[in-house]
Amino acid sequence: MRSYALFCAALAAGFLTLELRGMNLIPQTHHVSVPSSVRAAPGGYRTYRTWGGGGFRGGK
Amino acid sequence: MTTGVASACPQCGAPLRFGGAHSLAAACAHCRSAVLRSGAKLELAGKIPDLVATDTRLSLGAAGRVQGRPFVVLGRLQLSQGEAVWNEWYASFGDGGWGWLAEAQGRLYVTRPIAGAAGLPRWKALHAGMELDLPGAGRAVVDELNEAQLVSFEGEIPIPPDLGETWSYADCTTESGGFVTLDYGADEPVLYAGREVSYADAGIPDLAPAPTAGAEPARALACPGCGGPVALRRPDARAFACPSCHSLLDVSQGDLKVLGVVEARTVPPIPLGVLGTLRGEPLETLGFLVRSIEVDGERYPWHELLLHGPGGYRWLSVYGGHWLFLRPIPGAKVKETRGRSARCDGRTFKHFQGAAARYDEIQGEFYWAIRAGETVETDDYVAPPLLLSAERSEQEVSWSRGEDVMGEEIWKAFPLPGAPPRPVGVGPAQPNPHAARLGASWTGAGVALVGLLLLGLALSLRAPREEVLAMDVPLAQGQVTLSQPFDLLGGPQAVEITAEAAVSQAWVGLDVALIQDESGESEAAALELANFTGVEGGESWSEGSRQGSAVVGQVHYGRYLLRIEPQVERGRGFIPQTARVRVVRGVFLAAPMVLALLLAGLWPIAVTLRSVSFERRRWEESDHPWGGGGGSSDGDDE
Repeated sequence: MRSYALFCAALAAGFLTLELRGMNLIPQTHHVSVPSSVRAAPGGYRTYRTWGGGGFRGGK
Repeated sequence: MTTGVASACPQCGAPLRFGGAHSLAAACAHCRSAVLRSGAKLELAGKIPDLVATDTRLSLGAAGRVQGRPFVVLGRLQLSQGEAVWNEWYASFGDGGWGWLAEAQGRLYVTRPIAGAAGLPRWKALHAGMELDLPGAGRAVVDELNEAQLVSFEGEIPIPPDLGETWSYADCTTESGGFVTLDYGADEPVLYAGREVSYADAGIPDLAPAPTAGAEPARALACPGCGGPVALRRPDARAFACPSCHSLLDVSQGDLKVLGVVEARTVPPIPLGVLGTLRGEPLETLGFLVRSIEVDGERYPWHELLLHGPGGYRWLSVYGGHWLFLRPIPGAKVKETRGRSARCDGRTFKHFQGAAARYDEIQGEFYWAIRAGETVETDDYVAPPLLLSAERSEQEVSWSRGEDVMGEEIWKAFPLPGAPPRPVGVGPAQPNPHAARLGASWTGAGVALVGLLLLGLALSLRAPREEVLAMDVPLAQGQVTLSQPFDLLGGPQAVEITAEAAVSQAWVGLDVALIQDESGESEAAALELANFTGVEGGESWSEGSRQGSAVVGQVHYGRYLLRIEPQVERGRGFIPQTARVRVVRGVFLAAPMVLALLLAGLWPIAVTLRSVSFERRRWEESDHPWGGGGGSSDGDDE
């Protein structure tokens, strides 16, 4: 029982840490580093197409 | 209490005393003549055989007190069931009445006649285990139906001295601990009611000391089969298996008779004649049995040890390394629904197994006329760590209550060298170690779950959920929309991007990217907005959602842009011109809380599963295996 209480305390601490740091355990996005050349170019974000695995290849 | 009529024996002239008002006959202590009193006249009624040596703490003239009423012992009957002989002491009470003090298996029963008891059942209507409602005694259960023969007596007796006469009787017990005898010796049955009392409560000195090491045997005889010594530990022994030639002897009378030869291949787990103290009771091992039951053509043996101590006879039963310490109990204490359950002392016991148990091997001495190969019907009921066991024959139902005992405790109690064999499987009355933790685990988990939910609620309420961007995005294929830069304060934090559009029978995809303006580090996601409905087979259906969202974790303080690129396929459905896109910072994340709740619930779930598995293994060996299957467990015990 004591071990379980300690385990639950650790769980609560972990839960609190995840929430306060906004850590999403189920990733819904993927990271993309946009090159500085794109950022420097006017309209670069609009024309940049390499957004990693994102985007749709078709649909309904 | 007594009339004190003094007289002389008509045979030898020795002094004779009729001390009890109810005494009908007396035995001359000098010439062993039976003298019948008829008014003032004394008549000879033949010679009385010698008394058989029996285990007793009473004697003529012994005085005591039962339920506040003093008594004095005036005489003794010796009765026989053929081989077994027992004493019934005739006592005159201070209130002018009389009663019997019967000793059986080390216990004392006091009964007194119930005058005018009407409506008593006929002998032929009785059967063992039958429930009766008796006047003056209440609910009673028939434990034994048998016949008794008057074989000898001493002192005075309140019945005619018809030596050799046989009559029927029924011994019953009542729920309140009462003891009742229905005596069918006369034309009409006579009811005697009373209860078991301890010798101490009756004021009778404890003449039988607790067994001591090296004590002399109660009777030392020679085996008629081989001439070997027959050292009986108990004076009330009825059967003895000679350790030399394995002859089973009838030792109830002075002359030993060979009844047959018995098997004695198995070494008793505790040697016979060993003394020990188990659960506070000093005990001596007297006899050892190998018994077995047959299930589906296969015999399953187990071992039993008969023990004796100041509290009477006890049993130790062992099967697969699981020990049970059993004490006899009155049948009326048990309310049985045969084959299903039994109630005793406020507890419900579940039926475990019923079978015909056979005596396969016999060693040592026994207080009844045991026979090799004899079978009795048994039923076991369990409520761990307790077990109720019933053994039935046509004449008798005897109940005992057992407790599960660890082998280590047995080894320490007697004491024995080495270590006990490791138990195999789960014993019928073995306490479930997981069940004991079950309540605590669920209570603990409940507290933990409530705590985590409250913590989650507090964090949810505390979450800022501040909308930092809201804009309408044109829904045109490939038309990229870039938001104005916006600031995300605080952090690291979770940021939610949502999009909403009233599409109908259509689908829209949105590639969104949250871009940190200074560094270009981005988090990209794909949102889907769709709505399709229809009717198929007379039932309407719908799928898709007009709202999509994605949460970006650990977003740090800074200036950001949102890039949105729609994927639109315009067809027959309706797609609005724009979608509403929002960015909210400081949202509450449900996943960590759900994960914490699941992890906190693992322990009670694991304990429950282990408890269920333990019980399943216990009941595998019973008549009621879980899931209806049979089988056996050969794994080591936990």
